[in-house]
Amino acid sequence: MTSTWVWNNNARIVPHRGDQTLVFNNESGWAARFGGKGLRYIEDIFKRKSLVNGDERQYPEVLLNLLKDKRVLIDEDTAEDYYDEINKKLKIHLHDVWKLIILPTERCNFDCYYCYEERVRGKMKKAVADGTDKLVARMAAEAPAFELGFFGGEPFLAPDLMLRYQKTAFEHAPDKGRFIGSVTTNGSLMTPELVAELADYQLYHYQITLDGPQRMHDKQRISKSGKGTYKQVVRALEYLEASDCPKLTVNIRVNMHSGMALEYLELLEDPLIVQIIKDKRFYFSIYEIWSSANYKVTEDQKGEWDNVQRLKKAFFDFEQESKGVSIKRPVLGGPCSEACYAGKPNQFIIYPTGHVGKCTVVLEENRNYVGRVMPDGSLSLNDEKHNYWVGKNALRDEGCQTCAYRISCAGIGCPINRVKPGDGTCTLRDTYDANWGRALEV
Amino acid sequence: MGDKKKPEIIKAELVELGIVELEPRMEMALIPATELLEAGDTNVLADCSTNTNCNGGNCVAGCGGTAVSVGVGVGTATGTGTHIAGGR
Repeated sequence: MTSTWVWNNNARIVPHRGDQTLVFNNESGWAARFGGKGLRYIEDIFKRKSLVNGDERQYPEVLLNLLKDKRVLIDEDTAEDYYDEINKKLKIHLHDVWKLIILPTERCNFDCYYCYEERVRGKMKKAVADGTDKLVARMAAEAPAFELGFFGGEPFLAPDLMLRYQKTAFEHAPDKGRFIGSVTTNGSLMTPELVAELADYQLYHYQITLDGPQRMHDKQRISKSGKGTYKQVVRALEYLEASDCPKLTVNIRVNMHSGMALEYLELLEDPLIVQIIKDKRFYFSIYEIWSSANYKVTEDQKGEWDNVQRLKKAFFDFEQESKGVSIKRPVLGGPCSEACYAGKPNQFIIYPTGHVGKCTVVLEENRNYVGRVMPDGSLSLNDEKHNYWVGKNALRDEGCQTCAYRISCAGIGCPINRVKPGDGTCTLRDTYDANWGRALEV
Repeated sequence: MGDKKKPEIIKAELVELGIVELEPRMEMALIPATELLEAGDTNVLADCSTNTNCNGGNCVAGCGGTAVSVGVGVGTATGTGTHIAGGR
């Protein structure tokens, strides 16, 4: 019995430095650099798209075994089942995780110079809060899996609302293993008591920003009165580290300018940070500060793209060394790892006014206002506007079906950036092509 | 079926052809990441759809197992993702 081996749609050839190319499989995570004869062989196989037994004799056995083992080539007879299985996983991630990101207030006690928010809407009023509470109860009860997130402004300016919603969600979630709370906070208003109380209702995940060493952070993230906030943030991290809740996870977010990338590394010399990052519940994430309506990144703040990758790698390596683990650094993750919540049909943000949105960045744009929370806790959605965000994804969009990035991107990526204005074609593939290999090699 | 070649021989043959395998992102595995890590095998990481830490693919974070793969949430019962509300 002979088999026909076909090129896996999740595998891609990306031109690399000089006369080399990168080949990767987004499903298996495998990647390799091809040059010399190997490059000619792989390009030939890619052009053919399929190999029957006679064709196989033209290529070295070791190469064919590798490509089959890493699922760059898959057996045509099982291909349909294989793609179905992937689609099943994508469907779970796209549809079965429901999420609400509530902004209890947009006010903030910090005045970070790069903040893109207008911060115009104050604390949620009672009528809106009552409707939102009913919505939380309903979604927590009905969702296959549910995440309740808090964002702002500074959500801890309204701790009563956080506690109320978190408790409601916890009480209504039928399977506590499929519910979690998260918060994006500057950390300044947290107390050990609040952390403990929220953890009782499964608010386990924190994102707290610490922009490098004190001298950098205190320039970037200042209080309303113009003072540095480093010490307040570190104190919040200490509260979390002191918590005996094993399920806590804390993302220490570092917002950086690529032109000054190496200066942020000084953060890793702070003895308190050195101590905290040993705790397996804590990790870093590095983001480049971008220009917004409120802030323009200056030329001297801009640096090479590679600088960002080097900084990410340095923090990642430090973290692993501190924890005593050795894990390969991911560049592209698993299903939906590059897909924003804004593109998922059952994930919404709730403004303090009761408006329903999709994206936590374009808060002031009309396209983000897709509906309202009703007093009875139902969602009144404008389908046409909602469809702008969720209308395309890897399960529906024909263009995604043969895209090698469809598992990570899910046809969503960042919904705002996914299509070129005018012709409507996807921009994400070019971005992934340009960045993926470079990041892997840093 | 011939004898199985040793990995170092396979690697040498591939290098001869100009092929160098790079660090993998992660391999989909059927074993929870925590067990692998406890066993000292940190190179094979769990896909969230099969990882019990990620609630059988219904982890609420939607990180696709990435969180686990970068050391986040290792040992915790609920995988929590890297893609949390934010942008600042």
